[in-house]
Amino acid sequence: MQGKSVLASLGFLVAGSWGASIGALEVEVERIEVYPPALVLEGPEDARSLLVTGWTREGERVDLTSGARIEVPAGIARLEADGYLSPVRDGESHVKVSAGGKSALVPVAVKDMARTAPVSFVRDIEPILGRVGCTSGTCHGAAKGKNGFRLSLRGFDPEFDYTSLIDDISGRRFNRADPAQSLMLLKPTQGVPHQGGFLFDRDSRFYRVFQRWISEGVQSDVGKTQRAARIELVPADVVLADAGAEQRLLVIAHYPEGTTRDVTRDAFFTSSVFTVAEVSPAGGIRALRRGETAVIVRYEGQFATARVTVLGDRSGYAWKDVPANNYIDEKIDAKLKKLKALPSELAPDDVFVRRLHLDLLGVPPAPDAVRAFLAGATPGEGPSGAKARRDRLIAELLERPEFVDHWSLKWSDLLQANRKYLGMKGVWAFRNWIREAVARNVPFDRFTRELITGTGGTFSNPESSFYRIAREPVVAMETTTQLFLGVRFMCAKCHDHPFEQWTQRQYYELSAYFAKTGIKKGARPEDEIVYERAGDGGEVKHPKTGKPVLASFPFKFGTQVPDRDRPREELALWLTDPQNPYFAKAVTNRVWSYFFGRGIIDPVDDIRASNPPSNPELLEALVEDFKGHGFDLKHLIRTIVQSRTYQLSVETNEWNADDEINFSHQSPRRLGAEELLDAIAVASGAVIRFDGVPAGFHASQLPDSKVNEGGFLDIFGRPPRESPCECERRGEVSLSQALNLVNGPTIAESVADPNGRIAKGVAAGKSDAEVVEELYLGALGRYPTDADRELAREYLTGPGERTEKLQDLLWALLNSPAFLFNR
Amino acid sequence: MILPDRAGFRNLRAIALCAGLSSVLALRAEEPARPAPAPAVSFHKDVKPILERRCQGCHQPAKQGGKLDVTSYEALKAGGKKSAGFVPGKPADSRLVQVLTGEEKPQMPKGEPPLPPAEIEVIARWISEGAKDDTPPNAKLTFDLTKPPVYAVPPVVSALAFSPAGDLIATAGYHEVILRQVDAPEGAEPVARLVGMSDRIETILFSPDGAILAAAGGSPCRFGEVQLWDMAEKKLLRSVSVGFDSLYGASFSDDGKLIVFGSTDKSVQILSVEEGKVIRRIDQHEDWVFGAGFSKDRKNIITCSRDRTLKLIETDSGSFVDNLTSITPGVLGGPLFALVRHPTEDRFLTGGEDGVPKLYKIVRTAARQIGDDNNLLRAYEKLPGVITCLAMSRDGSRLAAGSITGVVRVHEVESGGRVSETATPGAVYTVKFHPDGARIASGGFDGKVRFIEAATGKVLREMVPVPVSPLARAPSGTGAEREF
Repeated sequence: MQGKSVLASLGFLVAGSWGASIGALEVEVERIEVYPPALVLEGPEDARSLLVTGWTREGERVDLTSGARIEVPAGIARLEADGYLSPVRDGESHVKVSAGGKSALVPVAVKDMARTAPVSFVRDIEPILGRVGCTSGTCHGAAKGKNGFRLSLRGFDPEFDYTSLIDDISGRRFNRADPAQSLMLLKPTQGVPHQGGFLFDRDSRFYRVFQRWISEGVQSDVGKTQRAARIELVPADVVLADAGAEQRLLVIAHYPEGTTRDVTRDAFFTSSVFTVAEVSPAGGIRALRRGETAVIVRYEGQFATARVTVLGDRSGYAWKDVPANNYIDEKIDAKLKKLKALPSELAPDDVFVRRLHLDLLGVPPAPDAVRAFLAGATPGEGPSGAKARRDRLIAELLERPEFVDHWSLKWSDLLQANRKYLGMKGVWAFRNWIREAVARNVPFDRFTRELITGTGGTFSNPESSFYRIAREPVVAMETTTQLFLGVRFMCAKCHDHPFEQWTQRQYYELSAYFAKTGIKKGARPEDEIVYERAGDGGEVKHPKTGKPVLASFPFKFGTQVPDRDRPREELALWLTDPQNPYFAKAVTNRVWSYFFGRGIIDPVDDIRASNPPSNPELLEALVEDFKGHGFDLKHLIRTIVQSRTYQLSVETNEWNADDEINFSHQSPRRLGAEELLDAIAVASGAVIRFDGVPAGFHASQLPDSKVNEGGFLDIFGRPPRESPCECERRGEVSLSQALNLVNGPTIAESVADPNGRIAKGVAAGKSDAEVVEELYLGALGRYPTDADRELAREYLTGPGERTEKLQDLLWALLNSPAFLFNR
Repeated sequence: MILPDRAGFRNLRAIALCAGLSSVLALRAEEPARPAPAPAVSFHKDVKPILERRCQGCHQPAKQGGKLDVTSYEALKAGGKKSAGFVPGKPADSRLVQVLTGEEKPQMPKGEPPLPPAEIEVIARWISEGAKDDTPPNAKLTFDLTKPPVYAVPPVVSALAFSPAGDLIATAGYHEVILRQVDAPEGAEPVARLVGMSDRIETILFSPDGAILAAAGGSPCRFGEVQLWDMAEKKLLRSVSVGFDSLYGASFSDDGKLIVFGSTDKSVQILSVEEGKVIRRIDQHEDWVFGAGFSKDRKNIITCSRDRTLKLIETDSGSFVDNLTSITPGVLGGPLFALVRHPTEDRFLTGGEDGVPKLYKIVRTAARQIGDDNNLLRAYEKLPGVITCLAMSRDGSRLAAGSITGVVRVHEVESGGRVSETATPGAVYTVKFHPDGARIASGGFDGKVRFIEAATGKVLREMVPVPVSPLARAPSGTGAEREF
């Protein structure tokens, strides 16, 4: 809207055609709507801006803000160059808004112009320091500041900033007797040399506010005035038709006492996927290509996200209804419909059986299991019969002992069961405790509470191992929040969290719940006892003040009775409370990611406002279901694998080929390290031995990651269990992996194992075709196709020793993506 | 403005229409890039800073060498006793350029090395481009003894000093040092207002014999200045421009012949009072220097800095001798902001960010062990907050420390025992003992000077040193008014 007001007030006729030249979509609209529908400006500093939306005949909504013309009759308000309406005098009037050939009248009321409040350091000055860049990490907000002048990063510490600006070096930076000669005004206007450059004009509102603040005597309201409690985005959900379409955002700050301010021009905007849509510093979104992105808005430590969907050219698209297996499919379908995408087909039975075994049990099906499942299909069963058959397989696998192996391994990884921290005996004790909990399907909230409140010796109370690993209060807090809330609190250790509303103070306040937890040596060697210190024993100090911090939760709900004597009990209850918005969400999202290779929020342990879920309605439904069933993990898993969505093919269609985050199809996932090793064992029939564990142990049953360190498992990304991060299990491809598969001893020895499938098959007199079928079923989970059989027959009837050639064949299968990936 | 190639020059209206439309279209049309002409030289941005740094020492309202004042465009244009300052458009004929190049004698700056050719070039180009004045309205300031600053609110008190006889108190204001009788009643007229070029005065010193008042300060990020005022006549003897920023921590030598001070360019400089110029520049610190003082025999300088060190330096050679503070990492408390010497002995009191005043001797007496802090004589009780200023009584028995939290404390120097504590509203920036040792004056953020009884910490009297008229407009405009 820049410059428009000038032209509008001159009545310059060219103004109407400016809309065309800017490049906004030319749309005919039936009517326009202005937000807010009525303006009330209270006090001389209350300037506000408008959003103009047009509605087409088809009922589609188009943003017309940037092309709109606003006519303000001289009198009670004035239109600024940046599109804001600022108050001039008390009174009531109308503003005429014209766009898309239509116009609307917006009533405007101005009052309280006589009420001049002094400039607030917290609400007026700090946002300017942020907006103009003074407190950014590249300038004075850096750890050492610039040229000796330090401010807190993004203004998270107004008390520090005030002292820096005002009292440092005897008040050198301001001049009360002659405000315009203050360094803090001369520097940003380049009245004196400033390495940070020219930041604003002498006639800008920034200058005006600073100058008034200095003239009023540089008062501080730190501690008396609070920052915004939250920011509201209008609109919060944006759907744009195609590249070039635009949408302006409004950002309204809400303060604790109930007042609001339009802070759009002082907020910061970023687009998470900036190739899909970009956003300007003024909050104007512009679509670049089809896809989804989140526009993250930050103002004074508050964050909000607007979801943006760019549909692109969808001519020829038509939604096809397919029956849903459960609510998961309903929520997914709703999103795909909105995106104008179509889900893939169901994966065939042989793909399904292998995938389900891998995801539930961590090991692919033996050939007989594949045969049995495929044989169960009857010609007339129809879709409901097929579904019932799959459901029966699901029910059966959920009760298998390998289920316990596979899921215990996952929790042992995250809980860092590692002999480095626990000793050999301790790691077995902790691992067995975890296995017991998985086997009994202990509700997840109880599981968590037992860990958090774990007390006693390692062997009598293995759950107390949690504290043998996280030995300092801040470490225990960081582990707890990342694992059980999915939130990365560590970013708030030295300053307020840069991407979320967590403050540095909250970091230490939450850590204080672990302040009394102590560890002492037990009677037996390798045993340590976790206990709670009595009275005032133990405290967490704030690094800035050096004073002890009282334990407190970063967000509260319901009525919790503080229990100063048993802080960990209090923490465990708060953590696992059904009202805690992060606890159930974190684990359901994490479990979801194990079945799709990606969470609904991704990464799964980095939940923040600036990392929104791709389908919040789905996540919400999963959470409610999970809580409604008493935090039952097995129920959650069953629900996920029973859904059609889980059972979709990895093959994409024209309408979902570009989708990577909405689960319109499955994606191939490389087998994890332990899965791979166990899969090689199944495919080859070999028994793979590990050091220090009973013979017959699978890779998924190993107690920790120090077994056969540096070998096959580590090459393929086994987590070292030194942190609670999901990212420890590395999925990247490396040269060692490639060489290991092609040339390494693991595969070479497995295929040649004298007790393996090939050796046994040859010894039992099986034909080539029979052995080949066994190999395909064991390695790829399917029958060989005719082409496969022909290829094998040709190779096997060629020159060379029969057993060796069969081993070559198996080697080739084990090196193929069909084996290495879960599809 | 773009005119179409075959513009209709025949018709004036067509031209006007074309011009009007093209100025609109020009904002949207894509022009081929042309090399931008070199920007015109700005008087305010380019020429004035040169004049401030190089010339205004001797050519300012309070002191007009050759009857020339260069502190404003009008004054420069009016020129001096010989001729006008410049002839617009003709640098070769302009006296300003002629004296700078040496074509006219004496060459300027007088008694100093000539200006770098690049700076003379800037001035010459400005004149050849028409010598236009682009000084913004709010920068047209001139204060002098006949037109002192007018205050709507009191400025901060950044420096103060008692005369050696104890009858006068000198306080820093905006562009001035204001002199009052110590025991003057409320509302009495000041004895004198010493109005100079610097926005801020950071240190006020009386020479040991009381004949000269030295004010060291400057306009932050523009220039530094040492002013020497004659106390008999209350007139400016000398103004010495030094560097590009304010000066800090100035001290006289005991014989009153030299002044040493620190600067934000990390240097320590020595000024000869008699010659009226800087005779030595010493670069030993790694950050801003906030305090500097002479040893009794003047052979050494002791300096403190934001780089956390207290250094011993040889006066005549400028050589570094020793770090009096231990420089072992982790041992240093932080930047040092204040420094004062014991009146009769070579012992220096310093303090800064860690809030602990420390007394040091300057000669090491034991074999060096890393981090031994051997020169530390005594550390005093920690003050709440950063120490901004320190003072010692004339008999060396007591010290006073002021902090950013507004606390002023008095301690016995020998025993370290606390004598008194006073809480004042707002940060304290300066604190000094009255020569009688019984009273202290403190000043700071709230613009008031407080007389405190040293033995008890009781505030005896408060005063606002500058005349305040609440209806006065700030000289450069407040911006609080809104114009419609």
